[in-house]
Amino acid sequence: MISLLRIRPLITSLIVSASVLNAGEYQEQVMEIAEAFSSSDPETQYTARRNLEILVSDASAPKEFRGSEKITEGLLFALDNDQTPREAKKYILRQLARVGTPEAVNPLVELMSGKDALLAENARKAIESISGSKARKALISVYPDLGEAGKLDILKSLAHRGEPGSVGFIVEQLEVGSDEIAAAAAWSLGRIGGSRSINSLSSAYSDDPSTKVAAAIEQALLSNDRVTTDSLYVIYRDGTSAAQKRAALRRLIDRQDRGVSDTIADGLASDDPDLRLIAIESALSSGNDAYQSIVLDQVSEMDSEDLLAVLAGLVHVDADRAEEIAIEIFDNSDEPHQLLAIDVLGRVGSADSVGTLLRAFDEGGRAVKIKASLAIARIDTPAMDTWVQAMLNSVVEKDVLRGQELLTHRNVKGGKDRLIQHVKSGSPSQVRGALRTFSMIADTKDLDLLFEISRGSSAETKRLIESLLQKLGPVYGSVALNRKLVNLGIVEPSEG
Amino acid sequence: MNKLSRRDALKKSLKSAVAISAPMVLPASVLGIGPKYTAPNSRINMGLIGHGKIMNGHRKYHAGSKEVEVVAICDVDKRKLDPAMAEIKELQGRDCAKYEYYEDLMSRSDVDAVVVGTPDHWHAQISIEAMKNGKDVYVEKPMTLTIEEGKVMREVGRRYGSILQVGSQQRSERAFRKAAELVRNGYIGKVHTIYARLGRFPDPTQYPKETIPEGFNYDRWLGPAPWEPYNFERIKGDYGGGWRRFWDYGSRKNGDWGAHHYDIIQWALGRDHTGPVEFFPPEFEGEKEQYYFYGDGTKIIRRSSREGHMIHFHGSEGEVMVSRGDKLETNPVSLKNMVFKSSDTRLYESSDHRADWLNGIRSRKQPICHVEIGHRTATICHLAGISERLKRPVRWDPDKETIVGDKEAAKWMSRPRRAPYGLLG
Repeated sequence: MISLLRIRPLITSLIVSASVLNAGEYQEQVMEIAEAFSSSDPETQYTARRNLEILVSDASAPKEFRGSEKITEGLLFALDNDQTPREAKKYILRQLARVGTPEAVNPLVELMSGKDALLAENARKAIESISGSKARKALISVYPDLGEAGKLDILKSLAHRGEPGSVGFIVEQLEVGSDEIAAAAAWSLGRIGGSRSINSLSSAYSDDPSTKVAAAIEQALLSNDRVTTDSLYVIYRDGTSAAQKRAALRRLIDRQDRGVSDTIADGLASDDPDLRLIAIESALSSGNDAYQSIVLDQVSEMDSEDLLAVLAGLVHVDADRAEEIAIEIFDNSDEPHQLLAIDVLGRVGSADSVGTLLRAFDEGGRAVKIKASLAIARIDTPAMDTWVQAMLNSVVEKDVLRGQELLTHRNVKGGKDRLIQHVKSGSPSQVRGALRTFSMIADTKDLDLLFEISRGSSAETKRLIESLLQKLGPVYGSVALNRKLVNLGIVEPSEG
Repeated sequence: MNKLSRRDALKKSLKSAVAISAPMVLPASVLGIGPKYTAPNSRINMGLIGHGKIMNGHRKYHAGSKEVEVVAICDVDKRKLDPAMAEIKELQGRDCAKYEYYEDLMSRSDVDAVVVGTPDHWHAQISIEAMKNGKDVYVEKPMTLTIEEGKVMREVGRRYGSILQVGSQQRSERAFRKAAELVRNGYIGKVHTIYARLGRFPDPTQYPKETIPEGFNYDRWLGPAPWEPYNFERIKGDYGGGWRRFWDYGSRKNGDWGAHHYDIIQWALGRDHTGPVEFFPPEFEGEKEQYYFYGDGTKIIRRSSREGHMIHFHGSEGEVMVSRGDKLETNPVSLKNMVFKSSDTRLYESSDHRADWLNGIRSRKQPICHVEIGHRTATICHLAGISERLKRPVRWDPDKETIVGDKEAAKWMSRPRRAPYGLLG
């Protein structure tokens, strides 16, 4: 064991040496591809670009030992070579952003500080993507020499890297930079996060920054899970926009802070419609009974606009309570509210909703009727099945027709059997109604059955059934049925 | 709290400013529910960003709607703004403001919502800025250019409670919903294979440099994408190619059609919160087409040909085939015309993708294709693209949302952004 431990560094060193010896293996290939970039033929240029991408991809595949190091070396070799066309260098830099190792940082810094703006920008992107403190320090080191635009780019790069080690430097820029720089620094701190970022942002926020910077700080604080509850209350109260206020209240509700109930109640009582709607929406969507009750207990006092927000938010409320509120609003409001209420009943309704939905289906305007039919189709209660069955079995013709129509929306047990009986009944209106429903829901077996019935039916019933079979037979009918329909001249023979 | 109350002085001035200029969290147009009733003062104020081909339908729809007022349009190509504005004026009877820079549109507190119809490489940044400014968003598909962008969009959407609809509008087509419900409820048994017909773009290519036309802000069009010389073929909107054929601005066919069909597959399988775990490139080990596996072995095969239905589900007890134009076929055939039982799982119903979003804006209810769904679908598009470009299989952990065992491939989850367009999140 001891001897193994002793020789381990030696083995590692041998492996490293071997890989260094192999490091040059890509230089030639990269140079060869790079040359093709000088071609004036676009296809050749694109092929070179794709070949470079494939070479780098293969070289850095997981199965390749130290692949990224070796291909980085090959890419850097070409990058440093005067023979390499500028266009090739551009794509080499793009590849370094994919696979570059810390060894690439120094040459990249040189390019980033150079006069060729295109290469400098690509070098910055490559450094941004290289992991490790060397790249971070390189970005910070060039910062003082850059103009404002360049400084903003570095701050963004540091943010994308997300290293806590950058926070101290960025905080300095938040404190001393122009509004533009301070706003970018705030954004960067929000993205990197951590307690130091939060503390610095909170501190800067308390220091009366300009509106631009304050907005950036609010956004940065809100982007961080560790933002203090105090900060959230201040943003909710004084935030630079309704969007920030809403985000702050949502976060406070998530935390179930003690003061949230009062904040919701204050919001509901506010003259500002934005604050009222923020309170309604946030409380209902919280899923918390206590917060929801603050809103739902005031439904009878609410104006039209607030009620719509309540109806929308019922999706988050306990089914029984949501149903109760939706029925109440349906009974006491106009069409826009009724449409939303019907939606709710279709989703969470029980036997208690059946009467309301059937009434909406019977008496509502076109939009209400359509909504009601969808709700009737979906409502999850056997009571609705029982109602539809009762209508189908009714002695009152109007109820039967209504039941037939509802069958196109809701599949109830024994429904098709009743329809068949209606077809056999000979009652013209029931036959028409039943066949109208069958035109929407008939399957292969139903069509066979209807064909048989048609043979012994009155002329009018027969005509109606054959008209249906003519339409549906070729699509849903069995082979045998279609053969019969062809023989009788009801449908044309198919070409196949 | 005490420390922060030093902002009291600022608070006063801000409060008055907010009272005047804060964007309406729930627009007054909540009153405008229903086809017949729209109070004149309750329209949703809309901004339309990016006036290429895909915006034509949105522009006509919104400018022609009584529930919406298009108050602002934006495009980096000034030549597109005047014709767009003329059309809007004709449809809605009023002018609107026009902008070259979307930031100017975002700064308007009276804009409630925006439609983002730019090429894909701008989707995330503009959407994120909109949400941070309290606006709701309809963003064209695929929602993003990278997986990282999707994660940020999801987080920002959650933070601000934004109503975001992704333009994968097949979810709002009847045949696709029925297909998804048949699959979801097991009417074709256990699904084992799904074909998605995506077609194929020509390979990307390099174009010679051309002069940038007057009025076209090419640098801005490129935005966070890498700099390339201008050529009309590169930037043109063309469903057969144009910018769509370039990886820099989109995900090629995986994004263009995959964003529609993978979306329906996820929906049908009930996997909107997750995704496949393995992605294979084209021509891998003798298989011509790309394919992907879910964790339970369900296989998606990308079809490059134009034959067959757009999506074809194969189950242990049947098949469901569905295409645009309300084309649905089933095996057994009777499935096509069946009525679902009340005990069946019914999926979110929308018959008009844009209207569904507008209803969501009014009700604050997330629409049929919200940000999480859009992100998960786009993730499939991107992972398929990464596998294709790297020419090797990619393994994905949909819970941790990371590429497994391939740190170089993992870097492709994001892309470096060109200065000064680096802001994301």
